[in-house]
Amino acid sequence: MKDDEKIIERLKQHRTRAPDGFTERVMEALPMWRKPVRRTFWSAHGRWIIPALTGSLATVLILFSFGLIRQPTAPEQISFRFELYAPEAHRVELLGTFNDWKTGDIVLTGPDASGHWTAAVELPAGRYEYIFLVDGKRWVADPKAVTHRPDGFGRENTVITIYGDEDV
Amino acid sequence: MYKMILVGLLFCGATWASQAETPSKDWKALREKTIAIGLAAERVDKTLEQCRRKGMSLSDTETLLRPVYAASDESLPADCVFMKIEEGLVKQVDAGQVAVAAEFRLTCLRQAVRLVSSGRPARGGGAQHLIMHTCMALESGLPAEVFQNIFSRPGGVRYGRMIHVVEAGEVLHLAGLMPSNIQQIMNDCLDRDLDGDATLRVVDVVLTGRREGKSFESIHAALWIPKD
Repeated sequence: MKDDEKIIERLKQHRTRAPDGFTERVMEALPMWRKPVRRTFWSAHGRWIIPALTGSLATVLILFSFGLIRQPTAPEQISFRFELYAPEAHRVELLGTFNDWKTGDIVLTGPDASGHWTAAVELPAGRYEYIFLVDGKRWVADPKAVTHRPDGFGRENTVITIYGDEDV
Repeated sequence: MYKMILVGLLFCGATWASQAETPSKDWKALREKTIAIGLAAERVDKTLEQCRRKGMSLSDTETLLRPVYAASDESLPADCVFMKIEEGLVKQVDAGQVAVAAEFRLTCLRQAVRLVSSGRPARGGGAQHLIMHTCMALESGLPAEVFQNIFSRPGGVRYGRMIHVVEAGEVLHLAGLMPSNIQQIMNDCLDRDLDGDATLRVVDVVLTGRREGKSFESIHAALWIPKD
């Protein structure tokens, strides 16, 4: 029994230096059962992408169904009829804040049998100033309108306010 | 060392100089500078062409446009000032008169911003529409005190309602009503939370009454139905 213990003790104490290149040879001989994989974004987080996208899509659909998200819509256009009585005129134009005071942009049609020139213009709700240009030289504020304001140049512009559904 | 700091400060000053103070080298540079503040190229081209046709020099044109650049520098709606210049040029008004009108609009815009921001808490979106309408009413001659009193009313008022009463105030002023009477009508509309159409009807009733020669007191007395 004592001999056994001695042998065990001697074996425990036994240390022999491994030959050069032993470790490398052993490692090369081992099968490549697990390749080292470089950790990228997709390998690290990829498993969360599909559930996250699904969740986001579901949230958006729910918000749409409750009407919490609205697609941006173009402002509502309201047709406004401009009219000027000018039986002797050859050309009547309409200039205002709605067309950046551009000449030749809105030309009224007429005169009709009663001497009126008219134009129907689609405008979004808002406050506008305008003036008629008769025969390219005479500036005329709308005589039928209620509100006129000085234009700062010695003439008067006509003021109109158009309300849309959103304003009420 | 202090010389380097001075040179550095001068360089920073030149770099951060406002658009209004930076002269353009040629018409192309002026065009680019004007488009850069967010105006449509077509409008800028039209305006510069009108200035050239009027025989204005590059520096004269830039001087004319200075209130537009100043508005842009101050984050005010520069388009509103530019439109006044467009209007003046298309009406073939003297350039000096156009410059005065543009400068006046800028002054009204600044005053409108002060009035709106002093009376009302900051609102998402910067209250641009209210500022524009207030500017127009000030330009028409409605006294600033009316706005001060309206904007500093106790209690909350819906933003859209405030715009409607400002418009109404301008119309009543242009019809020749006294500022105190205008303020009374504006307050009435806000007290009753009237929408745009209803406010417009109130204005119509007041204007019709004036055309019929009635006094403000009699118009106002018949305007509202007593609650009881």
